[in-house]
Amino acid sequence: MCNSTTMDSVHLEHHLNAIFKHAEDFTIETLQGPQCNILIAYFDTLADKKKLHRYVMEALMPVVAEQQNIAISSTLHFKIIQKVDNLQELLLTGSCLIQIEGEHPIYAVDVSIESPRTVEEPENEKVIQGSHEGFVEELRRNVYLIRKTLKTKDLVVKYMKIGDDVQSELCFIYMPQRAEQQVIEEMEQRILNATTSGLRSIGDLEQLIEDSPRSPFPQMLNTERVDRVIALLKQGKVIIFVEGSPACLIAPVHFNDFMRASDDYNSRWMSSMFISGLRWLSIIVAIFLPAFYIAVVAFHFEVLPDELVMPIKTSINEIPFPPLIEAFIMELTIELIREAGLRLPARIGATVSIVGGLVIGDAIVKAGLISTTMIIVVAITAIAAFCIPTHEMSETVRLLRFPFMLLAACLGFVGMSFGIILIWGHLCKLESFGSPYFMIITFEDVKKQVQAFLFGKADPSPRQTKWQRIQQQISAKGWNFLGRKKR
Amino acid sequence: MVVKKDNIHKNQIVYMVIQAQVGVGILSLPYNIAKYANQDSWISTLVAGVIMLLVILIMWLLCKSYPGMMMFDIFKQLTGNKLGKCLIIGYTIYFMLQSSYVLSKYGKIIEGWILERTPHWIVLSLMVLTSAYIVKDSLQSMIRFFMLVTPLLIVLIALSSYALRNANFLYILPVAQNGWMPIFKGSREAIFSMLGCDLVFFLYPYVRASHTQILKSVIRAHLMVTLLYTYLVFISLVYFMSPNDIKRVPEPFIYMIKSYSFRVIERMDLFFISIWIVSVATSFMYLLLLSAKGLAHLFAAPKHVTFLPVICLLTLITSLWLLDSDKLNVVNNYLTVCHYLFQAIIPALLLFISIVRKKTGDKREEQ
Repeated sequence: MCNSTTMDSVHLEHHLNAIFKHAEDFTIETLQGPQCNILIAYFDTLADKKKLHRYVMEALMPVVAEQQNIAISSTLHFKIIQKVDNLQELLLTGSCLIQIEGEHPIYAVDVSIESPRTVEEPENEKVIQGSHEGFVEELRRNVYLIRKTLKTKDLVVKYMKIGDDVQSELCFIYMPQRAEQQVIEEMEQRILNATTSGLRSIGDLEQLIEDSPRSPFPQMLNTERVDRVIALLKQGKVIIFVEGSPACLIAPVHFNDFMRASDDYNSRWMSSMFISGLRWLSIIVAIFLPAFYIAVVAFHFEVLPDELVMPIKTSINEIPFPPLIEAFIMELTIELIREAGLRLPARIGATVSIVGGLVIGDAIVKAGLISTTMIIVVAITAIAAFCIPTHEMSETVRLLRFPFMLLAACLGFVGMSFGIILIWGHLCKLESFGSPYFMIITFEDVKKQVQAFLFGKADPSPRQTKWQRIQQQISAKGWNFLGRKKR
Repeated sequence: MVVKKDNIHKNQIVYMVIQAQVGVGILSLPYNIAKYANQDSWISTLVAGVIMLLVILIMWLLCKSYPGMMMFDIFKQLTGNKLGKCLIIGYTIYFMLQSSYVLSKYGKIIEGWILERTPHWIVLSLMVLTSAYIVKDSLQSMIRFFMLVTPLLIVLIALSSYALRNANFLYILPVAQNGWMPIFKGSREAIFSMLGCDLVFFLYPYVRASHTQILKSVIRAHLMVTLLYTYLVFISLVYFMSPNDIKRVPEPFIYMIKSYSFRVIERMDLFFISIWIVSVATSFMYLLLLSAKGLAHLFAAPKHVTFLPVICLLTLITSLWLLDSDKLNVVNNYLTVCHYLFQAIIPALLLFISIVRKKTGDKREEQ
């Protein structure tokens, strides 16, 4: 229609009013001076009043009074706009547009309100040791948080847009020396090809670009922790931020990455190995324990040693339901309690746990509906599921439990065997942006570890825990670490 | 770690061979061998290992002389289009027959030990469906699965080793009491449990390794399996009082493990069988894959997935029929002939043809 060089203030006012017809918080003011009028347009709700006063009004006062036209362009905060297409976007991100009557250039000043949220520790990923920084809802601030810690020229930050009418801004971050070029290209390609009428959350983006949407397993890691992201960046992963979401997506990931908490990097290797071993145990318990119990009770009672037969037999003797129904009732009750506790404010949450835990747990046994052993099994399972450090994996595990219970109730151990084969086969098929997903440990890794431990030869590997780091330090320390005792 | 979908890394060969070899036969191995070789069964497995080495060498030499070609292509190349196609059909039927035998044998043991009253078709179709699910995608995912389940063999070994507690090593004496003939007869039985090296040779062009590397890996894996079998047979020999005892129990391992009592858990045989199912599944998968590949080659189709449902259905029906009409032994007899024919005789003949052709070709060039 017209460009910045041809649009004067009257046109501009009409143009803007036409675009933001229904926006009542859109404000156009005219500063009237003896010589010239100045048009100021901004969003009332997006602009910081103090900034507006300081950067715009104060700077414009001399112009209005003394006609210092030259001064305006030399003021630091003012930018001359080149394209009219940008006007809308600038206004919506909290800029203020200025035009002096009778002149062509349009100036923009950023007067947006600073985000009120401060950097705090994410609620769902707490650690005992280590940094307590978490990301916020603002894209640039998140990039700042990364840049602040990772001061290197070797860090690529790339902005992209996704969405047809409502566009969301994305941000790609990776270290080109360590990330694989193929993965980056593949990821960009998928984002460019994705069509959406606007992202609702980061989960939407995840569903758009993940490899197998029909898999129950999460294929991209979702975290709000700054230290975790930085550790993963150094391992050559690619990070995606979406404006408005405090979480970021990380790919390509392996199954291991979901089982690792930030604490692992900070504690001593013995305890960290013990804890991560415990976590692996917890994932096994969380999936298989109820199924195993059902299989034993329904099919293979002979598995129990003689001393155990009587207690379990007496406990389940009077129960009216088959073990599968019993287990389903209890598992679903626990899920209900969890969901209810999640949505309620903390004070009422305590009530839920009392009602759910004490009243239902105790009464249901006394009423003779559910056996005590089943309650124990379900409780252990629930606690084990909470041990899994990432929320998505924990959800997956809780979901997988149900088909296994069904298989165990139909075919006993044989059914469970086939369930395991299916799940493992599925995990072997999964790929996260071209790299195998279920790579728990490779033969080379083991060899490297043993070599490092025995002979102090270490090769820096991209996937490191404290345990691996120590190995590396042996060679990195530069002095004879292993030989010092002999001296 | 970007991996191409159908390539096989050289480190994966060992796992492939081990998982293809160890399968349904492992449970009744000592019984089958001891029928002929008595207390010398452990020597029989060693002899069988050496014989299988020859088979491996023959197949390797054949594949080596035609690099970049599938085994099925080599058939066509060497024997002409028509005869080659017949050979492909023959191999496909052989693999399918073998897989239905594996399937029905597995069904029989499950019926005997865990699920007595469950209809056969449920147990069998579960196996077919899970295996087909894993085979249907890329080769790489199947081999990754093979790698993943290999550590389970350690559990099997550990469980069986527990029997050494009640072992009496005098039971294996006297060595070679009845001369060498029974040992050779026993080794014939052992060979059938060692089939599976052909997986690598039928997928030869996909393997990203030099010829010698492949041969080394296959032999290494084969050695491991031979030693594993020898060890297992040895354990059951020193556990059971006399060879006559073994001859009474068709699945000696399960009997052995059944008798242990741990304080926390009893009837370890149920866990043993559950893990054994995985081993059966891997060898069944390899047979499915090869027969599907065979059909795909026959019809020059790009993907083997298209033929997978047909093969699954045929195998399932055949094995159900075998189970219900109790014809397992009959089929086993037929299969024995097939094993000799398809694993040794035909490859050896082909190798002979290829050598003769090369020589005549060289002579022509000289002239």
